Amino acid sequence: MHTQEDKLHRELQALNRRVGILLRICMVISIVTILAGLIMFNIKGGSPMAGLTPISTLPSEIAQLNPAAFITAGLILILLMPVAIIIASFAHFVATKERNPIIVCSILLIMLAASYIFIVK
Amino acid sequence: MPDFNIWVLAGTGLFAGLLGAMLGIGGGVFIVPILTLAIGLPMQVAIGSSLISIVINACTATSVYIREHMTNLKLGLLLATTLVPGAIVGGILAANLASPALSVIFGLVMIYVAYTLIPKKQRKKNEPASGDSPKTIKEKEHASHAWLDGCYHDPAVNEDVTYQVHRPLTGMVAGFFGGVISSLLGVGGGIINVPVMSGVMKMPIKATIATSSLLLCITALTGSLIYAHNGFIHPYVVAPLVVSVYVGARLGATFAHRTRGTLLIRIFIVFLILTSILMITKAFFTTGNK
Repeated sequence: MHTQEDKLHRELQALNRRVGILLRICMVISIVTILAGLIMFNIKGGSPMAGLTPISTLPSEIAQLNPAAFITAGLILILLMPVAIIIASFAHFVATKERNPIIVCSILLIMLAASYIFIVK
Repeated sequence: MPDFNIWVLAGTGLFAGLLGAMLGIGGGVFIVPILTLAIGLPMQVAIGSSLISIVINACTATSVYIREHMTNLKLGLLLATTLVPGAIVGGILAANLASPALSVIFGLVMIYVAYTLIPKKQRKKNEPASGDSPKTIKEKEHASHAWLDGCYHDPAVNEDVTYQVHRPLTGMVAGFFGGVISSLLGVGGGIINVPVMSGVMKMPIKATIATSSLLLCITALTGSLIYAHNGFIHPYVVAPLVVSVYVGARLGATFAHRTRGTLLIRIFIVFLILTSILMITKAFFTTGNK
């Protein structure tokens, strides 16, 4: 009984480490992207109250070295990080067959998807 | 159009990131007043910028806490199921309220937060070290949610701390209101989550702060999407904030488990009271700039 609990505890600690590394990688990439946009803005100039670049035109705007597009891309990556935590946790709990956390993660992912659709519409 | 300096934004972010990570509150209580009072940005733009900063602040702090196993991942995910709907409700309310009304609500909520921190400080004096878990447990009541229990190693006392989570349902209800407050005011649900997890759910303060950071990531994400969709996120306002919040949060999360925090909480209470007075006063002298 204790061995099973210990095993689950060790696996949870391994998940913690993986999520920690994932967050750090995403964070560094997003911060570098935003910083690049900020430096370009200081060089090129522009309206400080400009809006975000739409996702549909993001690749072409990045290709044209639009500072706002770089910042938008970095912000999108930041916003994807919490989702990545939930997906990584869900995958872990499925692997360890822990029923309650699987249900919680599923509800949360459905809620986030539903809220995104609700907000956009 | 407000005339803002990139270094003022960067300084604001650094300050908010540092204290936000150390207190597990996300830093919005610092960002929103500075952006509105010192820079003159509209309240909704300040809140939207604050929410994005909270995501980076909370994710940075979480990346540190989770590696040290202080974050209760299962509890955090459970509480997030009510925080997310709360965040949507808060975002919708904010989009339909005028700036002065938001300023008054913000000021009142900050007075409430200052109030909740005072008894917490007194309670800490009676605890052995760094808010450790209670010894007495009601096993039968607890069995249904034993899967939420956690443990971590506390480097400050060099001990393994094992704790049980009490009243998760109360935590979920409070989480909904934390979500509403987070999106409505851009302050992160930490101002609700931290007192509830620590006081009602009887979690050790370090696990509370770490789990609160995880919750802030998810709540602020939902709020940020609403504000971005409504056009309240401006890249050149957010970028210097985000970069400096990242630096501040890394420093804050590193310092958090080395400090006792009593002085920090006192300074925080004074800051909250002063800014709440300023926010409410400003609201009464503003004609409405929504």
